[in-house]
Amino acid sequence: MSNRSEPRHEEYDEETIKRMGLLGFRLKRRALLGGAAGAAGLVAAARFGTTPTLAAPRRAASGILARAIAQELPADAAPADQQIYRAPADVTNTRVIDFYESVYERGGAIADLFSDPLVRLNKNFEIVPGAATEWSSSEDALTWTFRLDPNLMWSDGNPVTAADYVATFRYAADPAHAWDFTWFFQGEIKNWTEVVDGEVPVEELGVTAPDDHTLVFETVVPVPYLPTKLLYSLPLSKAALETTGPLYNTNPETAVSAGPFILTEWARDEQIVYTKNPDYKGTLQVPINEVRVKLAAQTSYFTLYENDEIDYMVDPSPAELKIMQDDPELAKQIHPGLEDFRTFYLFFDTKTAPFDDLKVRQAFSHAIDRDAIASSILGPAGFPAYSWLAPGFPASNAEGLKDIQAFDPDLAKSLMAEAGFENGEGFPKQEMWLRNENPLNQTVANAVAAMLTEHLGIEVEVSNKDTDLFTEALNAKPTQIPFGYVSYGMDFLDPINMLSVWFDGGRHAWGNAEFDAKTKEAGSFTGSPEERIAMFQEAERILVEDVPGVFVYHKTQIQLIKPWVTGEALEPDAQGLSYLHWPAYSTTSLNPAGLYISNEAPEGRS
Amino acid sequence: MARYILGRLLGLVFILFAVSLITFLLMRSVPGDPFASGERELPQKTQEARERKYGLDKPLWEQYVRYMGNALQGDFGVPFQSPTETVSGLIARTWPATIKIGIPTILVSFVLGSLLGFVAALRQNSWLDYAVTFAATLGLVVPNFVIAIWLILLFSARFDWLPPGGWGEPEHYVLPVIAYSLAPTALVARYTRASILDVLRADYVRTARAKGLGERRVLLGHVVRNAMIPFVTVLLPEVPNILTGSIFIESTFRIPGLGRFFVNSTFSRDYPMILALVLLVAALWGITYLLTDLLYTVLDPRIRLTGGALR
Repeated sequence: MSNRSEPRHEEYDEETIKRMGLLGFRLKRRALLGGAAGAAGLVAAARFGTTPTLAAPRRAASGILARAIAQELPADAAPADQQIYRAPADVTNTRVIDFYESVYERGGAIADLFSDPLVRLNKNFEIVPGAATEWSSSEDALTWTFRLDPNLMWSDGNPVTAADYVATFRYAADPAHAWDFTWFFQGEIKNWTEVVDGEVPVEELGVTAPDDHTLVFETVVPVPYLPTKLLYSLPLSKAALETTGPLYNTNPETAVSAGPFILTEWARDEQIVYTKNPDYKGTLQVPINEVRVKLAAQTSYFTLYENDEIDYMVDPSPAELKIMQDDPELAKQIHPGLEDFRTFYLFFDTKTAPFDDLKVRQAFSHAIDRDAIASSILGPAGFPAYSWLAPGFPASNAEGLKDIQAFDPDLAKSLMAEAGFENGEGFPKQEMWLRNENPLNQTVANAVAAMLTEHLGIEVEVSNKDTDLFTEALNAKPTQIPFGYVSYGMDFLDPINMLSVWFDGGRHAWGNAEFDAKTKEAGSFTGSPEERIAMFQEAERILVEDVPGVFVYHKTQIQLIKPWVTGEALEPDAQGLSYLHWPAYSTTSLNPAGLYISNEAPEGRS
Repeated sequence: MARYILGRLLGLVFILFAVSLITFLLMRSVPGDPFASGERELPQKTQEARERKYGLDKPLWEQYVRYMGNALQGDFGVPFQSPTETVSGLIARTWPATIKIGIPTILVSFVLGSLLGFVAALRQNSWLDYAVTFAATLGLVVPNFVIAIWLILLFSARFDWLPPGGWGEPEHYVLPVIAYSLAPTALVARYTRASILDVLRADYVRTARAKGLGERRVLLGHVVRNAMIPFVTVLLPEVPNILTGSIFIESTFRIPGLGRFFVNSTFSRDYPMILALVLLVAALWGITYLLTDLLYTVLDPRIRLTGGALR
């Protein structure tokens, strides 16, 4: 539901396009360097069996150091009472602030501040220790053992123990709870699927605690990427779970935290206030004393930002971005970043005519001029996609795959003719389903539709549906959406995550046994990391060649950050990009430790 | 009279039941899964467990009977979009903010609107009349969210006199009330002008003047009172309209009110909330119409609501 009017085609000046191009270039380099290296690091953890990973032993020392120096603010910092960080969250999408109640509707990433996950991500997308000091896997790679930091305490005085994690995982899998994220560990953690399906009791879940500070995960198949998945291992307090119930962090009076912040106010539909937890004993020592989440409609974020009521926002509309770009001072506050490696794409019901014909799908893929879309619509908000895995994501092969779906209107025409639809004659009119897209993506979709009409001679109508309607129709078996435009961004940093979206029987009506087999094989492959990457790349080639999706663009997330928000978290990453990295301000990231308010901030911010 | 009112109230109860049944059937026939918000399809068993958890696995008639049974005892369930409170709790929490914006809106629009309409009618075809008519047309055709954005641009961005949004301080009322009251003010002004003009030409006004009444008495005693009838018919229903809020005004100015739930409940397929809101609106309208009818008898002695022939 949007009530603003947007310019339909925002033209970008040369400077912007250049910057966008620069970003694209950096990303491509990244694909060759960072992606493979990152994944290699992850795989190393599994490969060397019982050997702890690289980062793990180092942390103990740096953790103590962090604890010792944390309370000292940098010289240019604003006074302690002005260490307030304010960010918006969508008021209609903030059902709860609990990860285990609703992953998809918990008001953005600022919710996860009440406990430490086993591991975190640094800004170069490497896994670093969180609540776990070290971890290792067994020879057969089916058992993972995590050692917990013994210093961690809940604010109610109880120590954080492995039993808290076990209770949390049991609650997450409990069929009576019916969590919206149960798919996440399916077919991986032992008995997860069976517990979720109500076939075995939660006590038989393959997450156990041999002692207070040891947590063991058993898996059904080797899951070399388990540590990266365990970014999502934020524990709930077992005691609070039993006394108050799972939503104990809804009310400041019952709130319990073992994380850097604790809930102190939740004025519904207005704001959520997290205050620094004085009892926090973990390694994520934060300079910020208070986090204020301003609940507002997404359409009013920019007003809040302009009025200095928030320090950070993402995804300004094209018109809002233009305002920022036109002022040299404001332009410095624009930070393009990678967010969750999101790819926007067209998809088909490949089991039904006319999209059961590969030639038709190929024709569609050659009819989209991505460069034109990028330069005249997206600007810095995205860059052309010809494959699924965005540059920088592990196993991405953007360069190697870019010719398969390249823009070639003549080839597109002849493929349509070969499929029996010369100049589009006889081709049924198509409705392109959109999932409640924002103005920018509605514009992209309309441009795509116009290109299909221009180059293939077919009629396409763009139809922006509400999320619930779209999702139900998408998931229906058989699917009710013959043709649509949607996006996907990663849940965790391993190729298996993005590629599994295309498994037979999954999100889209497409099945390819070879693709499924190769992807699954690579997923649980514990041999050489390079080999594993190569296996994923083979699988992705099948995906791109069989065209169940036409990849349109990879999103660059535009962040607007006030100049007084500063710190190590915003220093350039290994690729030279300076932005607040996914998963933003959360204990699953190192960002909170590296962000503070400088003395440039206006006084009296609240 | 008491019997008449009782009868009407009983009728209202029947209407509420009919409305609830129609709404229930309509909302359940709209495609879309209330819990389909995620990026990945829920495992089949989890989907079933969710439906069990929220009672959506039962046959439709049973769900309806159960909901209405609970509703009669004041329990409207838990809103899907805010599972940490109840539907009644949510309404009790958000409605006051909407009413706090609504009451000044009603006062401003009715007082200002009737004043403008009255003056325009008395000075028919003067520049004043044209100005009021032009402003009223503008107020009606420009959507309030556009006006809201103009107001923010002018008073917050340009002059920095008032906050662009927020809640809790007196200054937070000014812009939303102005934006929200423009359309009803325009409506009131137009209706007032039209009905006053009508009455001014009536025989009994000429008679009143002919029998030598002062202009003041003619206007107050004859014109205004008679002009009130169409006014009441058309404008009183604006009251429940305004008191249930506007998603545009509330989201633009960040007012934590009830207005947005009318739209968002539909989008999120929040069945308990949709039903409760529709019942609330139906009840408000029912009561408003009853009050309108009662007001007629005060304004026009010829109107009798119960029995007896016209005298």
